[in-house]
Formats: sequence, C-alpha cells, structure tokens
Amino acid sequence: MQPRFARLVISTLVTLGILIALEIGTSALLPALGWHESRLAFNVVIILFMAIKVASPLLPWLILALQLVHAAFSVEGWALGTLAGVLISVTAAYLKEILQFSSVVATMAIVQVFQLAWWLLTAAIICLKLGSFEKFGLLFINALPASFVLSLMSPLLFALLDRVWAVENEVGRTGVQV
Amino acid sequence: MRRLITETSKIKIVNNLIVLVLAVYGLSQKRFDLEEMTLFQTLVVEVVGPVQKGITSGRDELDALLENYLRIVNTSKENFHLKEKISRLERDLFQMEEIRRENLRLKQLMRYSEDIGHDQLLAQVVGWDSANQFKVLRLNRGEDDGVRLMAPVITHHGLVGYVYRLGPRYADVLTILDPNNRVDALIERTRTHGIVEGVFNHLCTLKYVNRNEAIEVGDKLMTAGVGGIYPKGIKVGMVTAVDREAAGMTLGVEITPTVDFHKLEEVLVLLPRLATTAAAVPATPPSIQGSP
Repeated sequence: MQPRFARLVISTLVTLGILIALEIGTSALLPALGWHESRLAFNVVIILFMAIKVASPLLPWLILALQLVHAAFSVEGWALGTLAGVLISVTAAYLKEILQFSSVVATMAIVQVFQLAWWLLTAAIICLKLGSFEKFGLLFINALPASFVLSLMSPLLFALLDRVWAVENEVGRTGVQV
Repeated sequence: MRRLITETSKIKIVNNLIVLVLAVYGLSQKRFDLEEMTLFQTLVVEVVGPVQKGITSGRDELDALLENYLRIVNTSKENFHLKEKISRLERDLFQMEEIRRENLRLKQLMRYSEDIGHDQLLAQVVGWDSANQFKVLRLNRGEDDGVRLMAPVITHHGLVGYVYRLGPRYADVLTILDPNNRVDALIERTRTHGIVEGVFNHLCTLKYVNRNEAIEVGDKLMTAGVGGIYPKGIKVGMVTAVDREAAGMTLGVEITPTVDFHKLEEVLVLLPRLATTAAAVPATPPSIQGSP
C-alpha cells in the first residue's frame, strides 16, 4: 500500500510541475511571442488524462490540487474547473470501457469530445453565476480554437503523462490503479 | 474481493461528493469582479512571477533570436561568419531601436499621467490569464509598491481595466475586454451614457443606450466617472458599428478599445493622492459599478 501511495504522490508532484511549466508557457511565453488570440488550457487536458486514465479513489482531490495551482494563473479560480473536472471524471469512469486510445487520431477525437463537454459545462456554470445566458455562445465559441490546438497536442501530452503515471506498464488503456 | 471493490467504490463516491460540495461552495463564494489572493496563490505567484517576468523581459532577445534563426537557416557556409556578424549588428540595432521605442512609450505615458490628477505607478505587463473565458493581465507591481485593489489601470491611449487581485509584488488586472468588467462610459459628442462590456476578440459593446440616440460610427467614448473606480475623462474606445436593426428598446453598439491590447507592455496604475488615500480607498469597497 505504501509504495503505491508514494508513487501517487510523486506522480502528482511531477504532474503539477508539468502544469506549472505549461501555464507559464501559455500565460507569458506565447503572449511574448505575439500569440494573444486564445489561451491553451493545459489544465483541462491534464485533468481529462487523469479522469480517463488514472483510476484512483483520490482522483477528485488530485483534480482539486491541479485546479488550485491553475488558480494562481487564472482568475477562473479553482472551483469552476474542479466542478467540471469531477463531473467529467465521473462520466469518463462510466465510459472507460468504450474509450479506445488505439491511435493518435482516436486520442485527439476523444480529447476533443471531452473538451467540448468541458467548455459547454463551464460556459453554462459561468452564465448561471452571472445570472444571464446572453454570453453563453461567446464563452463557448471563444474556447473552440484553442481546444482544437490542444486536441492536436494531446497525443504528445498523453504520452508524457503515460510515462509519469506509468499507465502502459500496468494496465494499458483501461487505467492505472493507484 | 467483492467487498474490497465495493469499499473502493464507496470511497470514490464519498470523495467525489466531498470535492463536489467543496467546489459548489467555492463557486458560490467566487466573485468574477474582485478577489483576494489566498496564501497558497500568493506563494505560487511569488515563485512563478519572476519566471513570467523573465520571459516577458526577454521578449526582445526572443524576437531577435527567432529573426536571426530564420535568416541564418538559409545561409551558405561561405558567408556564414559574415552573416553572423551582420546578424549581431542587426540584433544590436534592433535592441537599440527597442530601447528608443520604449523610451518614447514611457515619455508618452509620463506626459499623459501629469494630466490625470492621481499619483501614478509605472508597471510592466508580465503575463496574461491562462483561461480563455477571462481577459486578465498580470503586472510586476503589487501591494508592496503601493498598488491597491480596484486601482484603475491606464495607458496614454486609454483605459486598460482595474486591479482585481493583489499580491505583495504582483497584481492581476481585469481588463475592459472581460465581460465581468463593466465601465460606465460617456459618448464625447452626444454625452450619452452607457455601460461598456467586454465581448472577447478585443472588442467591447456599449449597452443600455436608447434607440433614439444619434450615435454614429467614429464617436469617441470616455469614462463617465460614475461608480467610484475610474476617474472621469479617460479614453475608452471608439464606436465601430451601430446596429439599429435589432429588436428591442436599446441600440447595439460595437466599441473598439483605444488601447491595443496586443501591444500592451507598460501601463500606469492610478493611485489616490497620498493625503486622501485613507478616505479614497475603503478596505472593502461597497460596490462595483454594474458588477454582476
């Protein structure tokens, strides 16, 4: 039990390190290079990876930890993403058997579908919070360009996180048990 | 085995429920117009802030590096050294030109700030919000430098936004491009009041303007000075489209901000005059104009 827990802690810390590096990239490096149009929400892809591939009872807390770090880079805060992340992880748990990461294209498609669900959900929550659905379409559409770029990058990011969480070595595509 | 699986499932369900309840509570407490930085956030920002600052400060070197790389890729071996020398000279020239431009920008800013009637603090933009739904930028000045929550942020071109979240050495600014930032504005020519709201894509909209108002494309907007955040008379934007066809009692007015947010590098944070600081900035602001 202890080695499993130790690996969980190490994997989580490495994942948080990756998230911080990617957040710095999207909040400072890309704008410095002139990319202002949309921000790449790497926290979403990392949470999707964990929702789909990490089968741990502590998953909601891991999502919370990722969102707490993300909140330092965004006024979005931790709560919105945590709510969306946990709801999507519950959905992903039910769909786990039919999610096949057999190819790069399949990974991109799955990530894109879950991202669409994520942005629909967060746009709806923000509108509920603002008390008006006037900007629902804008909020959703605004997230789409970056979501396509993230889906294209997702096989690379998933491969990296597969290594961090040692997914392939243990139970393949059905999810690692920690 | 079955008992073990059931227990694991139970733990999962309990964890999901606890975190969901926490998230819903956090969301209910969340304000998109003003926030206090938590100790954890302050810690993370203090650690990563210098990295963001370093990257942004290294923009000129990065530009020069990319420029030089693209040029050097296609050079032949014979003139490699010559090209290298030229590129070094060009980089120096580029840096000199950058310094000249920075000098010009700062002069313009300082000249403009003399007319505002507030104390000002020059700050550099070091990062942007990493989420798409929010248009927030991070400055390299914070509470230690005298920045206050809700302090207006401007450039000589016009209004940028206000300080939304504050750390000891960094401040997050909710720009006028963000839908959560609502500015009470005035059309210079007709003196018509309206509320400017961000709509992403570097545009804003002017709301609550009566259909009968004779607003035209090209009309200029400035802050109305109502609401207690922004002083009166700061340029906000220009009317770039008027929709009189839409149904309803109000006009659809598209505003292009006078500030080019793509090129924003330095800004001025407006501070209350020292003598009136205590009276001008309450610890907990009573309200924000048009806040949700």
